[in-house]
Amino acid sequence: MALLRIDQVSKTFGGLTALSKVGLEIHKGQIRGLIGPNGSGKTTLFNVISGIYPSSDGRIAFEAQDITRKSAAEVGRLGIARTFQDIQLFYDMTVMENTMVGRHRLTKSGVLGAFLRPKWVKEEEKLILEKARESLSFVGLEAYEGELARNMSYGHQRLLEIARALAGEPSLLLLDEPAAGMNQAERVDLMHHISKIRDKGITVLLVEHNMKMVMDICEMITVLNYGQVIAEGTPREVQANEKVIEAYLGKARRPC
Amino acid sequence: MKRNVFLVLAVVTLVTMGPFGLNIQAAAAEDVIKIGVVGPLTGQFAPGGQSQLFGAEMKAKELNASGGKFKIELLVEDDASNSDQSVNATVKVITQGKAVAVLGAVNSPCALAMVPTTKRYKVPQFTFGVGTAITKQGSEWVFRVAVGAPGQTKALAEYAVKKLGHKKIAVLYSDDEYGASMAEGFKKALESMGLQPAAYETYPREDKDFSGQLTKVKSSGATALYPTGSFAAAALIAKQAKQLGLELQLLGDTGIATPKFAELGGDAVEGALIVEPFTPADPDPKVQEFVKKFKAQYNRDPDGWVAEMYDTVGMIYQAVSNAGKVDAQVIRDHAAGYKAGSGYKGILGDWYFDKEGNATFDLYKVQIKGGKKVILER
Amino acid sequence: MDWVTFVQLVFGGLTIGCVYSLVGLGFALTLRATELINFAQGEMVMLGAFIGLTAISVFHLPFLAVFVVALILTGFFGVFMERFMLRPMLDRKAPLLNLLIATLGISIALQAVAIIVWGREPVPYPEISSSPYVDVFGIRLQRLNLWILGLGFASMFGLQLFFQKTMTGISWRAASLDPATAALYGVNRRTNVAITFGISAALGGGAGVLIAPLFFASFGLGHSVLVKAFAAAALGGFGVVGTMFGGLVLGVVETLAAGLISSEYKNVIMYGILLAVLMFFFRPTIPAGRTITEGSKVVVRRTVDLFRDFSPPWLKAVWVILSIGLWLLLPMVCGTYTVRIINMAVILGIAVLGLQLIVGYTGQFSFGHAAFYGIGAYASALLSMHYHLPFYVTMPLAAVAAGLAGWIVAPILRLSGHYLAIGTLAMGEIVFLLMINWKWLTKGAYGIYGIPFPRIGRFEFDSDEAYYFLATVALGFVYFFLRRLTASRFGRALRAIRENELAAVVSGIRAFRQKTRAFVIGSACAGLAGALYAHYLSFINPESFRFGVSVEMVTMVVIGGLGSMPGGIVGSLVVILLPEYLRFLADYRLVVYGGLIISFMMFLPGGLSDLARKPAWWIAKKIEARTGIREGKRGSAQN
Repeated sequence: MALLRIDQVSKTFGGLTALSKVGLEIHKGQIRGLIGPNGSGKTTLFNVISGIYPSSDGRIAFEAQDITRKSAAEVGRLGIARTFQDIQLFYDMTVMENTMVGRHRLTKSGVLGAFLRPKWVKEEEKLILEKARESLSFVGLEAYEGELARNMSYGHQRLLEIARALAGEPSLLLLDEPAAGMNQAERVDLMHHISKIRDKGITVLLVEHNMKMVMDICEMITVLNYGQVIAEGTPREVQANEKVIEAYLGKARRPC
Repeated sequence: MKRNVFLVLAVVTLVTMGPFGLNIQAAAAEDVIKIGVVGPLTGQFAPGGQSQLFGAEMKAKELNASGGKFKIELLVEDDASNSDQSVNATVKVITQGKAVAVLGAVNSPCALAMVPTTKRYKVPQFTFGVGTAITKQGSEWVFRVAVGAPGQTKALAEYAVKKLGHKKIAVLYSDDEYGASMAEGFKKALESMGLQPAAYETYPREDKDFSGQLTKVKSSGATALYPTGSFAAAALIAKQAKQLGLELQLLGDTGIATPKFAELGGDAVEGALIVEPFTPADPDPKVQEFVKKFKAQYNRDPDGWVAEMYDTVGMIYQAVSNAGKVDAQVIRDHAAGYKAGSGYKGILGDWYFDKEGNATFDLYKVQIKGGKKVILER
Repeated sequence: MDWVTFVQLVFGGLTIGCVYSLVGLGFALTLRATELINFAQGEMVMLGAFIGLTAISVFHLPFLAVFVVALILTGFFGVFMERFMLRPMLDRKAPLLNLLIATLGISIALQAVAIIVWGREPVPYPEISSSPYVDVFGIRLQRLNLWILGLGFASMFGLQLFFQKTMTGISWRAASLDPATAALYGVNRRTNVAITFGISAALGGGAGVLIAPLFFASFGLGHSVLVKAFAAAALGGFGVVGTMFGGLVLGVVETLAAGLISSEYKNVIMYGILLAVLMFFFRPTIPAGRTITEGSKVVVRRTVDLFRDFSPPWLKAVWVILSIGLWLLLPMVCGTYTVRIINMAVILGIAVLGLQLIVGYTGQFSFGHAAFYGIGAYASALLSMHYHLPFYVTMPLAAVAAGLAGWIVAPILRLSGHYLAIGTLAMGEIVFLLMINWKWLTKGAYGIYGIPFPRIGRFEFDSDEAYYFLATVALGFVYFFLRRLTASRFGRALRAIRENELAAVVSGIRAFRQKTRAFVIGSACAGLAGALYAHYLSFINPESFRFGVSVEMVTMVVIGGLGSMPGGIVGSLVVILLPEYLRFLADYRLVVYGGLIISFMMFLPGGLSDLARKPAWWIAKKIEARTGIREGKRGSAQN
């Protein structure tokens, strides 16, 4: 059964059509790649899925639940986590605190709990701390837990965003160009992490420009161009697809 | 804790060692009458605060130069028409400055706020605020050195209706305590004569455009207009009324008695009828001499407020001289002790305080003719 | 009414509306180019009026020349102001809130300077022309109004031409839409900003000359048009043509409302329309990535808990005893007057702590906090006087009342940034107007007097010293309560919203719900403070709860340090004490005060709490070196 099903989703902004009848199905445990030239609508699709923009048409179902009209917070609470192309962190909070926020959806204590501090609230805080630590060691950042997010290196900031997303034990993780700006070593590390994430049972939808990474790690790839799906298949199939080549390179030139 | 400890310590040090922190008690020289003067020296109502100060200052200088046993020292504080600051200033002049009398405040809400404080410290307070509530607090330490709203508006209304024959009068009042008191008083005065105001409109204090309200006035068919609030607003109202083509008899209370009003209003305020306890136009030689002396020092005509504080300081001095000692209770009892016929004889005539502490001035009815005031009656 | 009067009304409305348009354009331009609401814009109007006055009375120039002169001179002043006071802050990417407060400081200082130079009394303009009226189709119209409309429209038309046809104007528009790209094409951002401030100031100054003959030149001239001009710009979507129409519409609506509906509620209607426009047209649908406190050196740094982590038990005991001793002895060491000032600072401090939660922690603006302060004051006063309830009942009820009001107003939190700022301002003014007009409840402008002192059993808190203990204990409770709240999951969520609402939302935080909670709690704190205030002064009236007080509270938050609870208390003390220390300066007091605020914003953007970081850190290092104890790893949310 599909974990995430996107059905004929379109998105227009005024006169501009960013997405046109996009259809996509992701199964549990997959690492799915989403590629396409700049401006093809990848980030827009992410934003529509995570509820930041409402779609203009179509339906999105997650774990058989219709989430088309759900707000971003609601989508987050259902277990879809995401990272952003331009890293969105809580810069003046510590690494630990950033990660702890990621677990917000699984926790309950509110104003009253904050004030009265009954036993269950204290227990919950301890658990949050523990789980956050786990996430941090998962990405290898546990040594930096007291550092401010703004003081971290770029590569570490990206990892932190992932740690935050993981702290909430999501079922689906949307990664928006996580390798951007990373060097070779960091990228290898990242691929390793993504594999481990999948091994934990989390489904991953990955947008990336780095073709090598996408081809290496994704089981299935969807290609977008001008807001439409132009190809879908295994990495090998997609690489050979004419429309894909045309989209990236222009009309194919026969080698002479 | 943490760095907060530093913060708190730093602040506490700052506070306690500050210039006014360590109990700087003024040396209580025995023969010095310290009088606190609390009023606005900044802000929209500064002209009133200035008048209060100048009046007190002039009398103080005169008395100090006259070579008596006692000297007067004024402790001047600015309250910027903010009632919190009025109370703070009062506490300051009484507890630190050791004032035995306080003049203030100019604005009624500020004066009102000061009442519990002057009562607690048992120091007589003299204010020309017109708000009725000031003297209804059950404090025997408050004296209103002015004719209150009811008195002023009654005189004004009666003159307008009986002597000038206006039956339809419009009222335009500012939405603060002053305007509201005056408007209410005027309305009651009209009602006691069997009339109602032709229009009864209000305006937000800072507003400068009254075309909306004045249109209502126009359609009410009123023949006279009573704008009350700050004198600047009243002048604007007069001007705008004229611009709209309204030919109305203007009425005014002591709030617009200041010469500034005529200056601002120009020919729009020609013919306005004002009630005031004192006017520089009075030909009485004593008054004229006073006017000349004031003009020489301060370069403008004195107004009722100046006269009121001038007399008050004089009264305080008299109280102390008679009793031979500088004491707040003495001053208070003396002020309360005046009676009809044997009042304080000052520039405002022979006046006294009634049971509630309101002064009993006679009011001039004055008309602005050619930019200057002409007395119609007393 | 007859149609002649109606036409005259509309004409009058257009005239004043034209002025709102001009001043509003200044706002719109500045906002577009720098994302800054320039609170000093009102003072440009004032300056123009006075410059014009000097031009007429000293140099006897004709009106048109006066208009142009004022335009040019205030324009230069605007450029000057930007270059020396704002640019350093803009360059350093100071947070928006600090910039706003800096412009407030400028506004205060300018008004004070105007008083010194031109005196505190309003000054009339000499007559502009010999025949004041013109008869158009039998309707008498003011010549002056025609001048105003004429010059006003000419200016706006000229402005449009500038933006559409000249190179500078076009590049300005490009730069305000996308500064980075424009820079690539050679558009110098700095020049742009300078031009913006120059034009905005000139527009204000020109407006000043136009309205001074109507309204007299006085130092308060700017204030009367400030908020309405901004409303005009908001109505017009902050575009050039839009603001022009917005101003005219506003002027006409305002005048008609006064003439046809009601003069009391004229402003309520106007603010209501403003709020409606904001809520319907300016609600962001996407959560903002960063907020108004972006870039602020918010005080959640490496937490060094000197107390917890380093101190042996006996030292802790000493600290505690010292602190308690200090607290008890303070009133005896200081005079009554000082105690009084401290009490006021403490009472305000409680309200400021609430505001700190809203602004410092959650990153939302609130320029209407004084309204809740007032609601609490009135609630407690009325309950104790009508129902004879004791203070320890009315005070919590006051907090509840204010919290409830906060909950009712909370939908306004769907706005963000400057729109939220203006929205809360409008809300605050509406509450003030209701306080004045609902005489049946509040006794209107007269206020309520004779409010009884708090009483426990036989003991009455009727002296400043006694109140000191009451107020400080209340402060302690509120502080304790808020500390608990912020060092929790709830506090983390709030800070996440402040730091990055977008990221917070995708993490599952229901931003609006949490913002509302913070707002309600913050308002309740203000209400509690209001109750203390009412029973301290024994007299309250609406004047004490106006916009100016709200602004003062925000200043306290910023000076103390955004996001720092102790900072809120310190900020309160500083803002209250500073004017007291400066009393000896008499007329120059406010100039210095304004100047200090500006300097503060320029040089100490993180507030005093930030300043105290260094000593604390240094001491921690020293202790660490001496004792070898490392600071404990603090994982859970601090502050």
